[in-house]
Amino acid sequence: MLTDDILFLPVRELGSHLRKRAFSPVELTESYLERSQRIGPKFNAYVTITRDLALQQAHLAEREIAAGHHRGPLHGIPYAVKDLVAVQGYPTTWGAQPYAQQTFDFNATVIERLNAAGAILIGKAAMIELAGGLGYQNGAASLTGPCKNPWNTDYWTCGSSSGSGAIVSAGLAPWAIGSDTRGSIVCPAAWCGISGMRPSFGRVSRYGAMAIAWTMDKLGPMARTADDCGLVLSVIAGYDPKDHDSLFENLSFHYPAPEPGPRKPLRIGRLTNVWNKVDPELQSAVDAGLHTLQQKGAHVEDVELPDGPYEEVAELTILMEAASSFQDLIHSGKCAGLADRLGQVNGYASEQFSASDYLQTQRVRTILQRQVDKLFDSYDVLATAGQSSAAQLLVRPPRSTPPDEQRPREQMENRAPDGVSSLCGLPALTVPCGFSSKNLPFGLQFIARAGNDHNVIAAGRLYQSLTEWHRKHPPSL
Amino acid sequence: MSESNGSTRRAKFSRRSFGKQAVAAAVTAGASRSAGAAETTPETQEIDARMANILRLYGDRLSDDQRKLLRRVLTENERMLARVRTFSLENADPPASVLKLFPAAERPQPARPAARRK
Repeated sequence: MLTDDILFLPVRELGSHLRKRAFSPVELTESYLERSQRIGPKFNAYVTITRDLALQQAHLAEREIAAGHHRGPLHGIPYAVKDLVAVQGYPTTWGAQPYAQQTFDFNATVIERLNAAGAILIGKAAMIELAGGLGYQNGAASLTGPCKNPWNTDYWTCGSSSGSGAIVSAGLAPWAIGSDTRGSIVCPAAWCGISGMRPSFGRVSRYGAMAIAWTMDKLGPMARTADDCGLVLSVIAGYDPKDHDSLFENLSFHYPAPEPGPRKPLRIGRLTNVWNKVDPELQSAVDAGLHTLQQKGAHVEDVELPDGPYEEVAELTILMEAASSFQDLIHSGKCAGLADRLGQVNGYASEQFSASDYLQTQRVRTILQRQVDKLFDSYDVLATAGQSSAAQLLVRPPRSTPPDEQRPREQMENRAPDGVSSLCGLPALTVPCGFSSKNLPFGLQFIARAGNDHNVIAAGRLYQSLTEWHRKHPPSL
Repeated sequence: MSESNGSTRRAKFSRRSFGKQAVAAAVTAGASRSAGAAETTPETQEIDARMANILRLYGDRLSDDQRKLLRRVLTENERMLARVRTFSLENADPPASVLKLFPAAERPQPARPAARRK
């Protein structure tokens, strides 16, 4: 088996080693499989390990690379995918008991693209049930139990891409696919000390992935570095006529982007009004990170988001659209089979919204989108903390918690930047930027104008060229 | 209605101040209701109506605890709706029912298929 030092390498370095035949795709895959089976259960990280498929794909990659046929940056590189993405021949549970036996007879578009690129699927990652589509109160809301943070198993990974975060953080795979409707990539990436990217809305096809809210759902990469996120995105992005909202071909994402001219200093707007309260340690880490970028020539200045009901519009949009996407579950009463007390009944309330409520919400959304877009006339990226704090303790299961102590949307109320950027379809990327006094990771988040995915990757790459936080991994692993 | 005309009208009517007042009123009404006061407002009436409809449709599925939780969810939903409903909109402001990433003038056109060789 390969050593841990190798298994924590970024995709780009693993690919380089594969091409030099330092080790083979089969060796690499077997090492990640062994590690996933040995350590994965400690974190409740996987729903399914796709061992047979992984070894079949690894042997194929090995033969091709030996013959000098290289398919690209992900050829022979293992990965995991959040269990809301359809993979033919394996269960796709959506992280929820009512769908525990669900299978699809086709692959999602992202899986087809990754198959064509020679990537190796080693497992399906645990997740919050329905990716939180009907609401949830804590990390226990999952078919596979609470996902535990590899930095400290008393703490949560955040959700809903919980397993994807834990898998990359613990070195069970070098990267994973997550999904993000409102913060479900950015939050677990920040809390697990990895790099995670939510692409622009429409950048990555969602065909074959579970829908929560059609106008807000995105798939994206979670990896060790911003550069790795760019590599993965270059493979999974692209127009897909099977996804109604897929971006047209003339807006394709290419990585690395060709330089249009002389490189200009990065213009960064430091958001000052997006969190109700930020952990002072975290704010210091974010400010230190921005200072590092400033010393290397970036222009950094404070900026405020315009006033507006971003969180309300984002939350209402998700509730309203989820009431439709999960209509069968709600009407049949099978929502009672969900683990979370809120998820069991929330759909009944969401069904009561009117068509007028929905349209009013979407009309306000258009105006909010325009006023946020104007900020990017002055800045290449906006920067803030990945979350308002480091990872939080895993709470007790809902049934053992007195009802009066439960606040239905507590987990979501502190996600202001996620609400804004998800609502407006903006790309965002978080990178590790330090640690709390409890040795839990902090994240620094960059947000860019819709379609300018390169800007968040460029900011993350620049930061990671100047720091070493992304090379840290949980000490016990 | 043109955007410029709409902008002028919006400027006279602060979204922020009106929204805050309306939300404060809605929240106060909800709080009064939950404290057992007899005060009835349009907001509490809407919550009551929606709760009654849920019970009509699904009452046989719901325990007392679930009914309490649902009422709290409906109250929170009403608070959020108040902020959206009091946001000043003009008649022609369109919905983002299908999210567009770019202003209309810059919206990209689909790539044209390559011309067939004859």
